[in-house]
Amino acid sequence: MGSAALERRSDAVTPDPLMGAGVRPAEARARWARLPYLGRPAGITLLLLLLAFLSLYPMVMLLYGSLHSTPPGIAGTFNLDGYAGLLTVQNLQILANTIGISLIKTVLSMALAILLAWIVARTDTPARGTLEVLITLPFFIPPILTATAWAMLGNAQVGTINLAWRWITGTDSTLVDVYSYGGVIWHMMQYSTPFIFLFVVDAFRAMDPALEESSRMSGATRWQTFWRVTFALMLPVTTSAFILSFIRGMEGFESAVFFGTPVNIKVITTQIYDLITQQAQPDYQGATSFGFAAMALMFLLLVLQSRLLRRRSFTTVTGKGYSPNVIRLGGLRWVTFAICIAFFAATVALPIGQLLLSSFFQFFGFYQLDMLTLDHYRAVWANDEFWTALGNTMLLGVTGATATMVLGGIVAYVTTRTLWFGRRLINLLAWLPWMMPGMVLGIGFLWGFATLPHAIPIYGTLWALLLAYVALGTPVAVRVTSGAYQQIARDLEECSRVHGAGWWQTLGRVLVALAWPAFAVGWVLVFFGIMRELSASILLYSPGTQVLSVVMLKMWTSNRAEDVSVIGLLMVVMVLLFRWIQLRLIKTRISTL
Amino acid sequence: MTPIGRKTFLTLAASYAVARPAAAQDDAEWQKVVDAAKKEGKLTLYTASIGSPYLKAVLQAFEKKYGIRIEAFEARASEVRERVRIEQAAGRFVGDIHHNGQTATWLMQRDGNFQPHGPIPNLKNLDPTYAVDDVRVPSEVNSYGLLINRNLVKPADEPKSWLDILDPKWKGRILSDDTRALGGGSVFFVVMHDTFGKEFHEKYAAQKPIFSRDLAGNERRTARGEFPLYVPFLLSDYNQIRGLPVKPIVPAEGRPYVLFQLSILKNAPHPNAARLFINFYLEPEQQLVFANGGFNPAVKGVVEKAPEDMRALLATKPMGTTVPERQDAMMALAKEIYQ
Amino acid sequence: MPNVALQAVSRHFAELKAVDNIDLAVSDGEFVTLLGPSGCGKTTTLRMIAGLEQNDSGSIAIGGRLVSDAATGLFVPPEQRKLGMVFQSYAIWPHMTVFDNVAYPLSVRHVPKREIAQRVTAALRLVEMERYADRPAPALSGGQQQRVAIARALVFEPEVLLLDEPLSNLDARLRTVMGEEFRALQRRLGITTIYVTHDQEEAMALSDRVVVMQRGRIHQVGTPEQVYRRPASRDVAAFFGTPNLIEAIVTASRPISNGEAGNDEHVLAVQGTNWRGQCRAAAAFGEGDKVLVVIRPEDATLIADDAVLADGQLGWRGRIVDGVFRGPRRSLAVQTDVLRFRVECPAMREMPTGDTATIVVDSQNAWAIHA
Repeated sequence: MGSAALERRSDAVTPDPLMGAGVRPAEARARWARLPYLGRPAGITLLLLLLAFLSLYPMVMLLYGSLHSTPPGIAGTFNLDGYAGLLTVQNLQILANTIGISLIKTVLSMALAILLAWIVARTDTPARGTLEVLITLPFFIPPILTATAWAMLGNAQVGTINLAWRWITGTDSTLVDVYSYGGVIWHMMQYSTPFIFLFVVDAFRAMDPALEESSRMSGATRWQTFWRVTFALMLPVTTSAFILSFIRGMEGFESAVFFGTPVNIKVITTQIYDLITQQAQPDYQGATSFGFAAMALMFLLLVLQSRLLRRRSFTTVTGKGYSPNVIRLGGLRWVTFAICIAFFAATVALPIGQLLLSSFFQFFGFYQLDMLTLDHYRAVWANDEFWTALGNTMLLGVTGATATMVLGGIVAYVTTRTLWFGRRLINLLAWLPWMMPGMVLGIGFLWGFATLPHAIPIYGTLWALLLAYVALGTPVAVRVTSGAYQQIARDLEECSRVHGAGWWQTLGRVLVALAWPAFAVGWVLVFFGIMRELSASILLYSPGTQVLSVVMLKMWTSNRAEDVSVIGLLMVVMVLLFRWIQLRLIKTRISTL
Repeated sequence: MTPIGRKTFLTLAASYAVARPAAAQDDAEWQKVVDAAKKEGKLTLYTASIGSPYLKAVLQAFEKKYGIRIEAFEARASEVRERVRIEQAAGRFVGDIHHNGQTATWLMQRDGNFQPHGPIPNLKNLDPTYAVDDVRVPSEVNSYGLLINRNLVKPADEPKSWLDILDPKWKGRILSDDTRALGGGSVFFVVMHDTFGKEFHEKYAAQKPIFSRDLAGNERRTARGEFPLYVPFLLSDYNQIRGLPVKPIVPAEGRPYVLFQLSILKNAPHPNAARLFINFYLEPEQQLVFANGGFNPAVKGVVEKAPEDMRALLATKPMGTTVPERQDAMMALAKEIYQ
Repeated sequence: MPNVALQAVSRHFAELKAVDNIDLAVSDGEFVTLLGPSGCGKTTTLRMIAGLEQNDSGSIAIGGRLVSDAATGLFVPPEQRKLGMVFQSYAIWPHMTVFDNVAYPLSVRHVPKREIAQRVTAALRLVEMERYADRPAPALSGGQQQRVAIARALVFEPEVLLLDEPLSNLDARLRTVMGEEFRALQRRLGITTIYVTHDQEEAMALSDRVVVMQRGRIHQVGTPEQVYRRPASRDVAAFFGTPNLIEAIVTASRPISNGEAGNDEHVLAVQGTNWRGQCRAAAAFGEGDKVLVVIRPEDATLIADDAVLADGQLGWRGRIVDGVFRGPRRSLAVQTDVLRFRVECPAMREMPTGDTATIVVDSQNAWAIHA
């Protein structure tokens, strides 16, 4: 047998370049390529240490704070007073209130986001490329600005909407009042809808049409197919988005403090805010205990999700190639178009229009010709603090978002595509920062970084901010990328390994290359998360390293809301630019399919 | 002002009075401080006065005059305090000067975050209304009045007394800082309580005021006509809303106020620059910057130089202020009355 | 020297022994097929060779180099094993063009650009896909994707080519065409190939040797003819087609030589229910041993009921109970005393059901295995 094979081989002396070329490059590289491989335990250890430092360390500081009568650095005793203090009827009501508000807003946003994502990704609705950019805009506008705008539009007394309503109907009834549960939920939805949309839209796009076609062929209606195949296949993405959004809703602060507090609607975060800032002696023990109680609750949710998704496959991108099904809606496409436009009008055009208009007047909401001015633009332009902060924020945003996506991409890989020892721990560590309300976590970072040995130059430098931002952004990065990874067939990855690509090369050239729309979305989410982040920033910045959110707070508290809106508009322009570039890149890819 | 505060002030004032004959010697001593400060060349300020253009003007004037670079860390009162606390606990002595409201400084004084400031020439300029001791120096004063919407409130209906806001015609129409929370609301609560007794608040609670935490937005909401009356109004916000249909009023009983204080942080790396800065801050010229901005100056003879309309508001009777020692009790009471 | 050698290789998934202690040696340039029903461990074996799974015990060597040894913990990652592989799904990366897909094994190894272009073009020419180089990969048909996958697997001139059911996603006609092209290519390049399939015809048509696997074990290794004609066990026999298995008892056994050294056969005299005769076997049997006589349906012929059996022939009488016309052939079922006998005969012959007939088999085509 063997001899026959050898003979055949000697017959096959064809002058084929395939046979002629040498294999030296691989030989030379083999030794180097093996190094990271042998270093897998070392790599996992490193990853664990990094995550532990970023998320566990501040958590441990907070845990100490919750169990100790005084914050770190002051003599005191260990006790459970913080947790015992939670067990009041009022706190239970607050908890129920928080969950209720967040649940309602998440369910509503989810429904809306899925509808919008389906319209944009899977129908022939006109101008859907543009619509996609417009729909996601509200997410990137600082909440304080939209809250202000909505306060002007929707207050019961002289809100623009109510004035218009009264003028149209001739009555003096009130149509909307943003200072209500509805107002809180509506304001939150403006952020959670685009957030969820960003998560699911690419999942809709990256769907092998055969999966849906086979359902239709099995006799399912379009509607049944949507629920039982399309939607079911997107479960990792949708449940992730749901939980992220729900948790964020529980941690939401601006909406509740703006529209809830005046009418005595209390949520966990406003309560924590009160405990820290609104009494003479900040109650850090109570605040951190509250934070951990909330965290325990959110942790349960995560367990639930992993149960739900266990042992199921959600591969929709296979090695056979695909291009998503686009449904021709006929005349209905103008209805879907109208839905998108209505969403855009309600969440962007109204509040942003208000801001844009206001930015040219001396005062917010006072539209008198003699108050027309460019002073706010000049003020921002001439504000050297603004430029320093913008520089710092851009630096932190770009490096932070990139670092976060790298870390998130690796964590997501380890947790979704390997069976490595320690992956569950890695996953948990990467989740932690998301489950702690920002204003508590900010304190954790402050305590953590300040008490590091002085030889480690983190505290008081840009590094402190960068590390905090990476920790805060990692959960989103992990969710976005792991959702995308889970849709990619394992074959595509294995094929790369067999054909000579190492682990890193495969990650970069196959997984990331295939999942890059998700990476781009994640990057933008993290980037603008960094631009907005205040809770940790204000505790960690130092003179000279101040960031945009701090400068905006300064402007806001010193009564220059109009200047803040100028910056807000600048951010909107930036978002448009980012998204436009991103979608153009996606489009060039899709048009080649 | 507490008896302790007054006593301390008198002692300090006396010490300067006694030192008069040796003025020349004092001048020489102070010149050493100035020289040392310039040598230090740098000053780090921790302040709870966020984004204040007046503070910024004073800082720039100081930098220009002495060539000492100032780095300012601005954050909210509790954040500044926590940052100082953890830094000192971790052995990081970064800040030199601390600038914060009297409640926060009282707590920090208690926690030992400061060091005595030593002799500072301009302490003699201080207005005796405001307490000074060997650690905390009054820097400027936040004073509160009322704000009305000129379109909605006829001149005849304008409140003349704090008691006028208890009139039933305002029921459900008052926008108010939260009396249960630190800040203007709490100051208002304590001073009204100390002046008029608990009944004032029982009646005010019955007026169903709308509490809002968005302090910066409240004035505009009033101006836009959501509410005719906003209580209490921080007079130093007046400059930013000039031109809107609103009018600030300081009722006959006077103005509740809160002191801002300067203190030198423990183990300050630039102690001489810190002292020089406090001294500079108390120059009438710098204090006028604050008076123009709607703050009551901490030193004598400055209010008189403020512009007419500002003077009318500031040259009013100091009605009272919060007392840190009683703060917790008062907040508990507020929570009881305003459910 | 064997190009791929597996020694005592096992792989467990929890309680399940996916691959159970197998040994296999594949010679240089040989085309070996792992054949078996789904779940028999053939794909797991292939993946262990590829380095996509790690063996729990035993060792694997490729080209004389140990790539995995459970005892010492040695494990060379897949990218350093210098392999080419074609996946069942083809695993064509949808974000790359055909050219980029094929160039991948070269570009990840930092082969100079000019050389890449040359070699990719050559590889594409080999599979007749050079015209499609600039196409985005998802725009290809199944057969085209298959060719790209093959070109990609060959472009780096791998030591061993691995194929995981590469034809299973193609339609029947294309499968035959691709299979033939594939075999021709393999012969021309003389590349060592391990091929996984559950399709016995594919296995026999393509392979130098077939490895029949079941429940994680190797049941038989041999040339297609050997495993087909001389199955080692009932399982192997049953896997290829639908042979007739007839119980019998050995009455005598003697060795004969078929000319090849070490490949001796034995002639057995067997006694069944109402029949007796001779058959062949791989080993000596004792008198009284129970055997199963394997008779392929195509080896049986039907003759008139009353015809006399020639020497060296086995015969059974029965009645035709079913007949299916299959174009070139006709499949008949003949009920005899011992079993319902399946017979394949030329379609031209008219065989009405109900007729009685005698099934005749040349005893050289009767193969005995352990019952």
